[in-house]
Amino acid sequence: MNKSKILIIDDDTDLVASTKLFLQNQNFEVTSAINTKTGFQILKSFNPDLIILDIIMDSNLEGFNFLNDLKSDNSLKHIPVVMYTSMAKAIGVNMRSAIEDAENFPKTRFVEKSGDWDELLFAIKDLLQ
Amino acid sequence: MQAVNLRIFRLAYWLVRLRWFAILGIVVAYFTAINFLHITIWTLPVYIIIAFLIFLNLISFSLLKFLQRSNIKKSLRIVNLIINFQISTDLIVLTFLLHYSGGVENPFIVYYIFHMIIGSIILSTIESLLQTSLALILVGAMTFLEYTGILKHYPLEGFIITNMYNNLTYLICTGLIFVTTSYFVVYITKTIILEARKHELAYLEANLKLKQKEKIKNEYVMRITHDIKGHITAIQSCINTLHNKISGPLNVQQEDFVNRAHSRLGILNKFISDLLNLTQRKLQQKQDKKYFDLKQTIEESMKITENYAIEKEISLTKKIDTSINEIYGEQSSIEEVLINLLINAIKYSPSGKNVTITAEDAGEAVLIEVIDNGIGIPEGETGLIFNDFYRASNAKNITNDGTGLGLAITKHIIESHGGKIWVNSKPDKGTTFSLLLKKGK
Repeated sequence: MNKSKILIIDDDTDLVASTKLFLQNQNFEVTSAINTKTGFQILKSFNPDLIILDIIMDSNLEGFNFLNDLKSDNSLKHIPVVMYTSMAKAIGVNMRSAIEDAENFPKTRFVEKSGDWDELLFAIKDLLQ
Repeated sequence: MQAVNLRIFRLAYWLVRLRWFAILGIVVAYFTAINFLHITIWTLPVYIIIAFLIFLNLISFSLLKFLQRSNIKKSLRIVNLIINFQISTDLIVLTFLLHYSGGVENPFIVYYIFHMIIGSIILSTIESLLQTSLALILVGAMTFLEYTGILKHYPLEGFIITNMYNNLTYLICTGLIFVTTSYFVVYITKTIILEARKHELAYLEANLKLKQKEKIKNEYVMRITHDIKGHITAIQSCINTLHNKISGPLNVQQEDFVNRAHSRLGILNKFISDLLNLTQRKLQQKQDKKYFDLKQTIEESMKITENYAIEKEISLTKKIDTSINEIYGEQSSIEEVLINLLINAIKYSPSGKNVTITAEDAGEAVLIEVIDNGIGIPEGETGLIFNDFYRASNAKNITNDGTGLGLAITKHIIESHGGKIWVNSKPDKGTTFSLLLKKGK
Protein backbone atom coordinates (compact mmCIF):
# COMPACT_ATOMS: atom_id res chain seq x y z
CA MET A 1 0.00 0.00 0.00
CA ASN A 2 1.26 3.46 -0.87
CA LYS A 3 2.00 5.82 1.99
CA SER A 4 -0.43 8.75 2.30
CA LYS A 5 1.29 12.09 1.75
CA ILE A 6 0.89 14.94 4.20
CA LEU A 7 2.02 18.55 3.79
CA ILE A 8 2.47 20.57 7.00
CA ILE A 9 2.37 24.35 6.62
CA ASP A 10 3.42 25.93 9.91
CA ASP A 11 6.05 28.48 10.95
CA ASP A 12 6.80 26.77 14.29
CA THR A 13 9.77 24.70 13.17
CA ASP A 14 10.09 22.84 16.50
CA LEU A 15 6.48 21.76 16.42
CA VAL A 16 6.84 20.81 12.75
CA ALA A 17 9.99 18.76 13.38
CA SER A 18 8.38 16.65 16.11
CA THR A 19 5.02 16.30 14.39
CA LYS A 20 6.77 15.27 11.20
CA LEU A 21 8.70 12.57 13.05
CA PHE A 22 5.52 11.32 14.70
CA LEU A 23 3.60 11.15 11.43
CA GLN A 24 6.49 9.46 9.62
CA ASN A 25 6.41 6.94 12.45
CA GLN A 26 2.72 6.47 11.76
CA ASN A 27 3.66 5.55 8.21
CA PHE A 28 2.92 8.80 6.43
CA GLU A 29 5.14 10.56 3.94
CA VAL A 30 5.56 14.09 5.29
CA THR A 31 6.89 17.35 3.89
CA SER A 32 6.69 20.76 5.46
CA ALA A 33 6.65 24.41 4.48
CA ILE A 34 7.38 27.40 6.68
CA ASN A 35 4.73 29.64 5.09
CA THR A 36 1.82 29.38 2.68
CA LYS A 37 3.80 30.79 -0.25
CA THR A 38 6.34 27.96 -0.08
CA GLY A 39 3.47 25.62 0.76
CA PHE A 40 1.74 26.47 -2.49
CA GLN A 41 4.89 25.77 -4.50
CA ILE A 42 5.45 22.41 -2.78
CA LEU A 43 1.77 21.58 -3.21
CA LYS A 44 2.12 21.30 -7.01
CA SER A 45 5.12 18.95 -6.99
CA PHE A 46 4.39 16.98 -3.81
CA ASN A 47 0.72 16.41 -4.52
CA PRO A 48 -0.33 15.73 -0.90
CA ASP A 49 -3.32 13.64 0.22
CA LEU A 50 -3.85 15.97 3.16
CA ILE A 51 -2.64 19.35 4.43
CA ILE A 52 -2.02 20.32 8.04
CA LEU A 53 -2.34 24.09 8.16
CA ASP A 54 -1.51 26.61 10.86
CA ILE A 55 -3.65 29.76 10.92
CA ILE A 56 -1.51 32.57 12.36
CA MET A 57 1.81 32.75 10.53
CA ASP A 58 3.24 35.92 8.98
CA SER A 59 -0.19 37.46 9.21
CA ASN A 60 -3.15 36.68 11.45
CA LEU A 61 -5.22 35.33 8.58
CA GLU A 62 -2.53 33.65 6.47
CA GLY A 63 -3.91 30.15 7.08
CA PHE A 64 -7.47 31.22 6.39
CA ASN A 65 -6.46 32.92 3.16
CA PHE A 66 -4.63 29.80 2.03
CA LEU A 67 -7.66 27.64 2.90
CA ASN A 68 -9.88 29.97 0.93
CA ASP A 69 -7.59 29.91 -2.13
CA LEU A 70 -7.27 26.13 -1.97
CA LYS A 71 -10.97 25.48 -1.62
CA SER A 72 -11.81 27.94 -4.41
CA ASP A 73 -9.58 26.01 -6.81
CA ASN A 74 -11.52 23.21 -8.44
CA SER A 75 -8.41 21.11 -9.06
CA LEU A 76 -7.33 21.37 -5.39
CA LYS A 77 -10.52 21.66 -3.33
CA HIS A 78 -10.72 17.87 -2.85
CA ILE A 79 -7.56 17.90 -0.67
CA PRO A 80 -8.57 17.53 3.01
CA VAL A 81 -7.27 20.19 5.38
CA VAL A 82 -6.68 20.04 9.11
CA MET A 83 -6.56 23.56 10.53
CA TYR A 84 -4.03 22.91 13.26
CA THR A 85 -4.13 25.92 15.54
CA SER A 86 -3.79 27.06 19.10
CA MET A 87 -6.89 29.18 18.64
CA ALA A 88 -9.36 26.44 17.66
CA LYS A 89 -11.26 26.91 20.93
CA ALA A 90 -11.17 30.69 20.60
CA ILE A 91 -12.73 30.50 17.15
CA GLY A 92 -15.96 29.30 18.70
CA VAL A 93 -18.39 26.63 17.67
CA ASN A 94 -20.35 28.90 15.28
CA MET A 95 -17.41 29.88 13.15
CA ARG A 96 -16.00 26.35 13.11
CA SER A 97 -19.24 24.76 12.06
CA ALA A 98 -19.56 27.40 9.34
CA ILE A 99 -16.28 26.20 7.83
CA GLU A 100 -15.97 22.54 8.78
CA ASP A 101 -17.30 20.50 5.88
CA ALA A 102 -19.33 23.43 4.58
CA GLU A 103 -20.12 23.53 0.87
CA ASN A 104 -17.32 26.01 0.17
CA PHE A 105 -14.89 24.28 2.53
CA PRO A 106 -15.34 20.53 2.04
CA LYS A 107 -13.17 18.20 4.11
CA THR A 108 -11.96 20.76 6.62
CA ARG A 109 -11.43 20.17 10.33
CA PHE A 110 -10.19 22.31 13.23
CA VAL A 111 -7.83 20.69 15.70
CA GLU A 112 -6.41 22.42 18.76
CA LYS A 113 -2.61 22.30 18.80
CA SER A 114 -1.41 20.19 21.67
CA GLY A 115 1.68 18.38 22.78
CA ASP A 116 0.28 14.98 21.96
CA TRP A 117 -1.10 14.06 18.58
CA ASP A 118 -4.22 12.03 19.49
CA GLU A 119 -6.74 14.50 18.11
CA LEU A 120 -4.60 15.30 15.10
CA LEU A 121 -4.21 11.64 14.19
CA PHE A 122 -7.93 11.04 14.68
CA ALA A 123 -8.79 13.90 12.31
CA ILE A 124 -6.25 12.75 9.71
CA LYS A 125 -7.56 9.18 9.72
CA ASP A 126 -11.13 10.43 9.55
CA LEU A 127 -10.41 12.70 6.58
CA LEU A 128 -8.38 10.12 4.67
CA GLN A 129 -11.04 7.43 4.93
CA MET B 1 -25.87 58.83 30.77
CA GLN B 2 -28.37 56.00 31.00
CA ALA B 3 -28.22 56.22 34.79
CA VAL B 4 -29.07 59.94 34.65
CA ASN B 5 -32.03 59.27 32.30
CA LEU B 6 -33.35 56.58 34.56
CA ARG B 7 -33.03 58.85 37.58
CA ILE B 8 -35.33 61.48 36.06
CA PHE B 9 -37.99 58.83 35.52
CA ARG B 10 -37.46 57.45 39.00
CA LEU B 11 -37.87 60.90 40.55
CA ALA B 12 -40.94 61.65 38.43
CA TYR B 13 -42.57 58.45 39.70
CA TRP B 14 -41.48 59.35 43.21
CA LEU B 15 -43.28 62.68 42.83
CA VAL B 16 -46.43 60.85 41.68
CA ARG B 17 -46.25 58.59 44.76
CA LEU B 18 -45.68 61.59 47.04
CA ARG B 19 -48.82 63.14 45.60
CA TRP B 20 -50.94 60.12 46.53
CA PHE B 21 -49.68 60.56 50.09
CA ALA B 22 -50.39 64.29 49.91
CA ILE B 23 -53.97 63.64 48.76
CA LEU B 24 -54.44 61.17 51.61
CA GLY B 25 -52.87 63.75 53.94
CA ILE B 26 -55.31 66.46 52.83
CA VAL B 27 -58.29 64.17 53.39
CA VAL B 28 -57.07 63.17 56.88
CA ALA B 29 -56.20 66.80 57.80
CA TYR B 30 -59.60 68.18 56.75
CA PHE B 31 -61.46 65.26 58.31
CA THR B 32 -59.64 65.80 61.62
CA ALA B 33 -60.08 69.57 61.48
CA ILE B 34 -63.81 69.36 60.85
CA ASN B 35 -64.77 66.38 63.00
CA PHE B 36 -62.37 66.49 65.92
CA LEU B 37 -61.20 70.09 66.14
CA HIS B 38 -64.65 71.36 65.09
CA ILE B 39 -63.22 74.01 62.79
CA THR B 40 -65.63 75.49 60.28
CA ILE B 41 -64.42 74.98 56.72
CA TRP B 42 -66.29 75.37 53.45
CA THR B 43 -65.81 71.78 52.22
CA LEU B 44 -67.09 71.96 48.62
CA PRO B 45 -63.94 73.61 47.14
CA VAL B 46 -61.82 71.11 49.08
CA TYR B 47 -63.66 68.15 47.51
CA ILE B 48 -63.32 69.68 44.05
CA ILE B 49 -59.60 70.26 44.58
CA ILE B 50 -59.06 66.69 45.81
CA ALA B 51 -60.86 65.30 42.76
CA PHE B 52 -58.77 67.57 40.52
CA LEU B 53 -55.55 66.35 42.18
CA ILE B 54 -56.48 62.68 41.71
CA PHE B 55 -57.27 63.37 38.07
CA LEU B 56 -53.95 65.21 37.52
CA ASN B 57 -51.94 62.50 39.19
CA LEU B 58 -53.53 59.77 37.09
CA ILE B 59 -52.73 61.77 33.95
CA SER B 60 -49.09 62.26 35.03
CA PHE B 61 -48.74 58.58 35.85
CA SER B 62 -50.14 57.40 32.50
CA LEU B 63 -48.02 59.92 30.61
CA LEU B 64 -44.88 58.71 32.36
CA LYS B 65 -45.75 55.07 31.60
CA PHE B 66 -46.32 55.96 27.96
CA LEU B 67 -43.05 57.91 27.71
CA GLN B 68 -41.06 55.16 29.34
CA ARG B 69 -42.24 52.72 26.70
CA SER B 70 -41.37 55.11 23.87
CA ASN B 71 -37.96 56.47 22.86
CA ILE B 72 -36.24 57.74 26.01
CA LYS B 73 -34.14 60.42 24.30
CA LYS B 74 -37.17 62.40 23.17
CA SER B 75 -39.10 61.77 26.38
CA LEU B 76 -36.61 63.33 28.77
CA ARG B 77 -37.63 66.91 28.00
CA ILE B 78 -41.28 65.98 28.33
CA VAL B 79 -40.69 64.27 31.67
CA ASN B 80 -38.98 67.44 32.85
CA LEU B 81 -41.97 69.46 31.69
CA ILE B 82 -44.35 67.11 33.50
CA ILE B 83 -42.38 67.51 36.72
CA ASN B 84 -42.40 71.31 36.38
CA PHE B 85 -46.09 71.31 35.58
CA GLN B 86 -46.83 69.03 38.51
CA ILE B 87 -44.94 71.20 41.00
CA SER B 88 -46.54 74.40 39.66
CA THR B 89 -50.06 72.96 39.83
CA ASP B 90 -49.33 71.64 43.32
CA LEU B 91 -48.36 75.16 44.40
CA ILE B 92 -51.54 76.61 42.89
CA VAL B 93 -53.68 73.89 44.45
CA LEU B 94 -52.06 74.44 47.85
CA THR B 95 -52.79 78.16 47.54
CA PHE B 96 -56.46 77.48 46.78
CA LEU B 97 -56.72 75.03 49.68
CA LEU B 98 -55.18 77.60 52.02
CA HIS B 99 -57.38 80.36 50.68
CA TYR B 100 -60.55 78.42 51.45
CA SER B 101 -59.28 77.47 54.90
CA GLY B 102 -57.89 80.50 56.66
CA GLY B 103 -55.39 81.81 54.11
CA VAL B 104 -52.20 83.08 55.67
CA GLU B 105 -53.51 82.04 59.09
CA ASN B 106 -53.51 78.35 58.18
CA PRO B 107 -50.39 76.65 59.69
CA PHE B 108 -50.19 74.41 56.62
CA ILE B 109 -48.63 77.41 54.89
CA VAL B 110 -45.23 75.92 55.76
CA TYR B 111 -45.99 73.06 53.34
CA TYR B 112 -44.78 75.28 50.49
CA ILE B 113 -41.31 74.48 51.80
CA PHE B 114 -41.79 70.80 50.83
CA HIS B 115 -42.36 71.77 47.23
CA MET B 116 -39.27 73.93 47.27
CA ILE B 117 -37.17 71.04 48.58
CA ILE B 118 -38.65 68.57 46.08
CA GLY B 119 -38.13 71.09 43.27
CA SER B 120 -34.51 71.64 44.28
CA ILE B 121 -33.87 67.91 44.28
CA ILE B 122 -35.39 67.21 40.87
CA LEU B 123 -35.10 70.43 38.87
CA SER B 124 -32.27 72.65 37.68
CA THR B 125 -31.20 75.63 39.82
CA ILE B 126 -33.07 78.15 37.61
CA GLU B 127 -36.21 76.01 37.54
CA SER B 128 -36.26 75.50 41.30
CA LEU B 129 -35.73 79.25 41.86
CA LEU B 130 -38.60 79.99 39.46
CA GLN B 131 -40.86 77.51 41.24
CA THR B 132 -39.95 79.06 44.60
CA SER B 133 -40.69 82.52 43.25
CA LEU B 134 -44.03 81.25 41.91
CA ALA B 135 -44.87 79.96 45.39
CA LEU B 136 -43.97 83.29 46.96
CA ILE B 137 -45.98 85.25 44.37
CA LEU B 138 -48.99 82.99 45.00
CA VAL B 139 -48.77 83.41 48.80
CA GLY B 140 -48.13 87.12 48.37
CA ALA B 141 -51.08 87.56 46.00
CA MET B 142 -53.43 85.56 48.24
CA THR B 143 -52.40 87.54 51.31
CA PHE B 144 -52.64 90.87 49.49
CA LEU B 145 -56.05 90.10 47.95
CA GLU B 146 -57.45 88.89 51.28
CA TYR B 147 -55.92 91.87 53.11
CA THR B 148 -57.38 94.39 50.71
CA GLY B 149 -60.73 92.57 50.74
CA ILE B 150 -60.72 91.91 47.00
CA LEU B 151 -60.94 88.21 47.87
CA LYS B 152 -63.10 86.95 50.69
CA HIS B 153 -61.27 85.70 53.77
CA TYR B 154 -62.48 82.31 55.00
CA PRO B 155 -61.53 82.24 58.68
CA LEU B 156 -60.78 79.01 60.53
CA GLU B 157 -63.51 79.49 63.07
CA GLY B 158 -62.88 77.62 66.27
CA PHE B 159 -59.12 77.57 65.61
CA ILE B 160 -57.85 81.10 65.03
CA ILE B 161 -59.12 83.39 67.74
CA THR B 162 -57.61 86.70 66.63
CA ASN B 163 -57.60 87.64 62.93
CA MET B 164 -54.12 87.92 61.49
CA TYR B 165 -54.85 88.29 57.78
CA ASN B 166 -55.47 92.01 58.23
CA ASN B 167 -52.60 92.68 60.65
CA LEU B 168 -50.04 94.46 58.45
CA THR B 169 -47.08 94.23 60.86
CA TYR B 170 -47.66 90.52 61.30
CA LEU B 171 -47.97 90.03 57.53
CA ILE B 172 -44.77 91.95 56.73
CA CYS B 173 -42.71 90.15 59.39
CA THR B 174 -44.05 86.70 58.52
CA GLY B 175 -43.66 87.47 54.82
CA LEU B 176 -40.02 88.45 55.19
CA ILE B 177 -39.23 85.36 57.23
CA PHE B 178 -41.09 83.19 54.74
CA VAL B 179 -39.25 84.65 51.73
CA THR B 180 -35.79 84.31 53.28
CA THR B 181 -36.54 80.80 54.58
CA SER B 182 -37.72 79.71 51.13
CA TYR B 183 -34.65 80.87 49.22
CA PHE B 184 -32.36 79.60 51.94
CA VAL B 185 -33.98 76.15 51.80
CA VAL B 186 -33.51 76.08 48.01
CA TYR B 187 -29.89 77.12 48.38
CA ILE B 188 -29.06 74.50 51.02
CA THR B 189 -30.90 71.67 49.26
CA LYS B 190 -29.34 72.55 45.93
CA THR B 191 -25.83 72.61 47.46
CA ILE B 192 -26.32 69.20 49.08
CA ILE B 193 -27.78 67.71 45.88
CA LEU B 194 -25.01 69.08 43.65
CA GLU B 195 -22.37 67.79 46.04
CA ALA B 196 -23.98 64.34 46.10
CA ARG B 197 -24.32 64.30 42.33
CA LYS B 198 -20.65 65.22 41.94
CA HIS B 199 -19.73 62.21 44.06
CA GLU B 200 -22.09 60.00 42.14
CA LEU B 201 -20.62 61.03 38.79
CA ALA B 202 -17.11 60.49 40.10
CA TYR B 203 -18.18 57.07 41.30
CA LEU B 204 -19.75 56.16 37.96
CA GLU B 205 -16.67 57.35 36.13
CA ALA B 206 -14.36 55.35 38.41
CA ASN B 207 -16.52 52.29 37.91
CA LEU B 208 -16.35 52.66 34.14
CA LYS B 209 -12.58 53.09 34.26
CA LEU B 210 -12.29 50.00 36.42
CA LYS B 211 -14.26 47.97 33.89
CA GLN B 212 -12.08 49.24 31.05
CA LYS B 213 -8.93 48.38 33.03
CA GLU B 214 -10.33 44.91 33.73
CA LYS B 215 -10.91 44.42 30.01
CA ILE B 216 -7.39 45.58 29.14
CA LYS B 217 -5.99 43.25 31.81
CA ASN B 218 -7.97 40.31 30.43
CA GLU B 219 -6.84 41.03 26.86
CA TYR B 220 -3.27 41.26 28.10
CA VAL B 221 -3.50 37.97 30.00
CA MET B 222 -5.05 36.32 26.96
CA ARG B 223 -2.37 37.59 24.62
CA ILE B 224 0.43 36.40 26.91
CA THR B 225 -1.08 33.01 27.71
CA HIS B 226 -1.72 32.48 24.03
CA ASP B 227 1.93 33.15 23.21
CA ILE B 228 3.15 31.00 26.09
CA LYS B 229 0.85 28.21 24.98
CA GLY B 230 2.51 28.17 21.54
CA HIS B 231 5.92 27.58 23.10
CA ILE B 232 4.64 24.98 25.54
CA THR B 233 2.90 23.06 22.78
CA ALA B 234 6.11 22.97 20.75
CA ILE B 235 8.18 21.84 23.78
CA GLN B 236 5.57 19.22 24.68
CA SER B 237 5.54 17.98 21.14
CA CYS B 238 9.35 17.65 21.11
CA ILE B 239 9.39 15.90 24.51
CA ASN B 240 6.69 13.55 23.26
CA THR B 241 8.93 12.25 20.51
CA LEU B 242 11.20 11.06 23.33
CA HIS B 243 8.41 10.03 25.69
CA ASN B 244 6.67 7.98 23.01
CA LYS B 245 10.08 6.61 21.98
CA ILE B 246 9.47 7.65 18.41
CA SER B 247 13.06 8.79 18.16
CA GLY B 248 14.43 5.54 19.56
CA PRO B 249 14.89 3.84 22.95
CA LEU B 250 16.06 5.65 26.12
CA ASN B 251 18.03 4.33 29.07
CA VAL B 252 16.27 4.11 32.46
CA GLN B 253 17.58 7.42 33.76
CA GLN B 254 16.80 9.28 30.55
CA GLU B 255 13.33 7.81 30.55
CA ASP B 256 12.79 8.90 34.17
CA PHE B 257 13.70 12.50 33.40
CA VAL B 258 11.71 12.59 30.20
CA ASN B 259 8.70 11.29 32.16
CA ARG B 260 9.14 14.01 34.78
CA ALA B 261 9.38 16.71 32.12
CA HIS B 262 6.41 15.23 30.27
CA SER B 263 4.24 15.18 33.38
CA ARG B 264 5.13 18.74 34.41
CA LEU B 265 4.47 19.99 30.91
CA GLY B 266 1.05 18.35 31.04
CA ILE B 267 0.21 20.28 34.22
CA LEU B 268 1.57 23.52 32.77
CA ASN B 269 -0.39 23.03 29.58
CA LYS B 270 -3.61 22.41 31.52
CA PHE B 271 -2.96 25.54 33.56
CA ILE B 272 -2.44 27.68 30.48
CA SER B 273 -5.49 26.18 28.78
CA ASP B 274 -7.66 26.85 31.83
CA LEU B 275 -6.38 30.42 32.12
CA LEU B 276 -7.08 31.01 28.43
CA ASN B 277 -10.52 29.46 28.79
CA LEU B 278 -11.45 31.63 31.78
CA THR B 279 -10.05 34.83 30.21
CA GLN B 280 -11.82 34.19 26.93
CA ARG B 281 -15.07 33.64 28.80
CA LYS B 282 -14.59 36.89 30.73
CA LEU B 283 -14.05 38.79 27.46
CA GLN B 284 -16.79 36.99 25.58
CA GLN B 285 -19.87 39.10 24.88
CA LYS B 286 -22.16 36.55 23.30
CA GLN B 287 -22.85 32.92 23.95
CA ASP B 288 -24.17 30.29 21.60
CA LYS B 289 -27.33 29.55 23.61
CA LYS B 290 -30.19 27.39 22.44
CA TYR B 291 -32.53 24.70 23.81
CA PHE B 292 -30.69 21.43 24.42
CA ASP B 293 -31.37 18.07 26.05
CA LEU B 294 -30.07 18.28 29.63
CA LYS B 295 -30.57 14.59 30.37
CA GLN B 296 -28.48 13.66 27.35
CA THR B 297 -25.79 16.19 28.37
CA ILE B 298 -25.60 14.70 31.88
CA GLU B 299 -25.27 11.21 30.41
CA GLU B 300 -22.64 12.43 27.95
CA SER B 301 -20.55 14.01 30.73
CA MET B 302 -20.80 10.75 32.70
CA LYS B 303 -19.60 8.82 29.69
CA ILE B 304 -16.58 11.11 29.33
CA THR B 305 -15.58 10.74 33.00
CA GLU B 306 -16.45 7.01 33.22
CA ASN B 307 -12.97 5.71 32.43
CA TYR B 308 -11.42 7.92 35.08
CA ALA B 309 -13.93 6.62 37.63
CA ILE B 310 -13.21 3.00 36.71
CA GLU B 311 -9.48 3.69 36.95
CA LYS B 312 -10.01 5.03 40.50
CA GLU B 313 -12.54 2.29 41.37
CA ILE B 314 -15.30 4.76 42.04
CA SER B 315 -18.86 3.95 41.16
CA LEU B 316 -20.62 6.65 39.17
CA THR B 317 -24.41 6.77 39.50
CA LYS B 318 -27.16 9.09 38.35
CA LYS B 319 -30.66 9.98 39.49
CA ILE B 320 -32.45 12.09 36.93
CA ASP B 321 -36.14 13.05 37.26
CA THR B 322 -38.17 11.71 34.36
CA SER B 323 -39.51 15.23 33.74
CA ILE B 324 -36.04 16.61 32.97
CA ASN B 325 -35.58 17.35 29.30
CA GLU B 326 -34.66 20.54 27.47
CA ILE B 327 -33.20 23.68 29.02
CA TYR B 328 -31.92 26.90 27.43
CA GLY B 329 -28.17 27.53 27.44
CA GLU B 330 -24.82 26.81 25.86
CA GLN B 331 -24.69 23.03 25.77
CA SER B 332 -20.89 22.73 25.46
CA SER B 333 -20.38 25.04 28.47
CA ILE B 334 -22.88 23.21 30.69
CA GLU B 335 -21.25 19.92 29.72
CA GLU B 336 -17.88 21.43 30.65
CA VAL B 337 -19.30 22.36 34.08
CA LEU B 338 -20.63 18.86 34.70
CA ILE B 339 -17.39 17.22 33.57
CA ASN B 340 -15.41 19.60 35.82
CA LEU B 341 -17.54 18.76 38.86
CA LEU B 342 -17.52 15.01 38.15
CA ILE B 343 -13.74 14.93 37.67
CA ASN B 344 -13.26 16.87 40.91
CA ALA B 345 -15.60 14.50 42.77
CA ILE B 346 -13.74 11.44 41.45
CA LYS B 347 -10.31 12.98 41.96
CA TYR B 348 -10.91 13.88 45.61
CA SER B 349 -12.65 10.63 46.61
CA PRO B 350 -10.81 7.58 47.94
CA SER B 351 -11.16 4.33 45.96
CA GLY B 352 -14.35 2.36 46.55
CA LYS B 353 -16.56 5.41 47.16
CA ASN B 354 -19.58 6.65 45.24
CA VAL B 355 -20.12 9.72 43.12
CA THR B 356 -23.73 10.55 42.29
CA ILE B 357 -25.16 13.11 39.94
CA THR B 358 -28.81 14.07 40.41
CA ALA B 359 -31.17 16.33 38.50
CA GLU B 360 -34.55 17.33 39.80
CA ASP B 361 -37.32 19.62 38.73
CA ALA B 362 -37.41 22.91 40.67
CA GLY B 363 -40.28 24.69 38.95
CA GLU B 364 -38.78 27.33 36.66
CA ALA B 365 -35.36 25.79 37.14
CA VAL B 366 -33.51 22.50 37.37
CA LEU B 367 -31.46 21.57 40.42
CA ILE B 368 -28.39 19.51 39.58
CA GLU B 369 -26.21 18.06 42.32
CA VAL B 370 -22.88 16.27 42.22
CA ILE B 371 -22.45 14.36 45.46
CA ASP B 372 -19.31 12.57 46.67
CA ASN B 373 -18.09 10.91 49.85
CA GLY B 374 -14.59 12.24 49.40
CA ILE B 375 -12.08 14.23 51.43
CA GLY B 376 -14.37 17.27 51.69
CA ILE B 377 -13.36 20.91 51.89
CA PRO B 378 -11.76 22.18 55.12
CA GLU B 379 -13.99 24.41 57.22
CA GLY B 380 -13.61 28.07 56.37
CA GLU B 381 -12.48 27.34 52.82
CA THR B 382 -15.83 26.69 51.14
CA GLY B 383 -16.24 30.41 50.48
CA LEU B 384 -12.89 30.60 48.73
CA ILE B 385 -12.88 27.63 46.38
CA PHE B 386 -14.60 29.50 43.53
CA ASN B 387 -11.89 32.18 43.51
CA ASP B 388 -9.39 32.26 40.65
CA PHE B 389 -6.29 30.15 41.45
CA TYR B 390 -7.60 28.97 44.84
CA ARG B 391 -6.95 25.34 45.75
CA ALA B 392 -8.20 23.83 49.00
CA SER B 393 -5.35 23.04 51.39
CA ASN B 394 -6.18 19.31 51.52
CA ALA B 395 -6.52 19.09 47.72
CA LYS B 396 -2.91 20.22 47.35
CA ASN B 397 -1.81 17.22 49.43
CA ILE B 398 -3.57 14.79 47.14
CA THR B 399 -2.33 16.01 43.79
CA ASN B 400 -0.37 18.90 42.34
CA ASP B 401 -2.06 18.80 38.96
CA GLY B 402 -4.95 21.13 39.84
CA THR B 403 -4.87 24.64 38.43
CA GLY B 404 -7.26 26.32 40.85
CA LEU B 405 -9.21 27.59 37.86
CA GLY B 406 -11.72 24.81 37.21
CA LEU B 407 -14.27 26.01 39.76
CA ALA B 408 -13.73 29.65 38.76
CA ILE B 409 -14.60 28.67 35.17
CA THR B 410 -17.55 26.62 36.44
CA LYS B 411 -18.93 29.52 38.48
CA HIS B 412 -18.44 31.93 35.59
CA ILE B 413 -20.37 29.66 33.22
CA ILE B 414 -23.24 29.12 35.66
CA GLU B 415 -23.54 32.83 36.42
CA SER B 416 -23.44 33.75 32.73
CA HIS B 417 -26.47 31.45 32.43
CA GLY B 418 -28.26 33.37 35.18
CA GLY B 419 -27.90 30.35 37.44
CA LYS B 420 -26.53 29.74 40.93
CA ILE B 421 -23.85 27.44 42.26
CA TRP B 422 -23.08 26.61 45.87
CA VAL B 423 -21.32 23.96 47.88
CA ASN B 424 -21.94 21.99 51.07
CA SER B 425 -19.07 20.07 52.48
CA LYS B 426 -17.87 18.24 55.58
CA PRO B 427 -14.21 17.32 55.90
CA ASP B 428 -13.71 13.54 55.44
CA LYS B 429 -17.45 13.06 54.87
CA GLY B 430 -17.91 14.45 51.39
CA THR B 431 -18.95 17.35 49.24
CA THR B 432 -22.10 18.30 47.36
CA PHE B 433 -22.01 20.87 44.59
CA SER B 434 -25.45 22.23 43.74
CA LEU B 435 -26.39 24.05 40.55
CA LEU B 436 -29.62 25.84 39.88
CA LEU B 437 -30.17 26.40 36.17
CA LYS B 438 -33.10 28.19 34.57
CA LYS B 439 -35.11 26.08 32.14
CA GLY B 440 -36.11 28.87 29.77
CA LYS B 441 -34.56 32.04 28.35
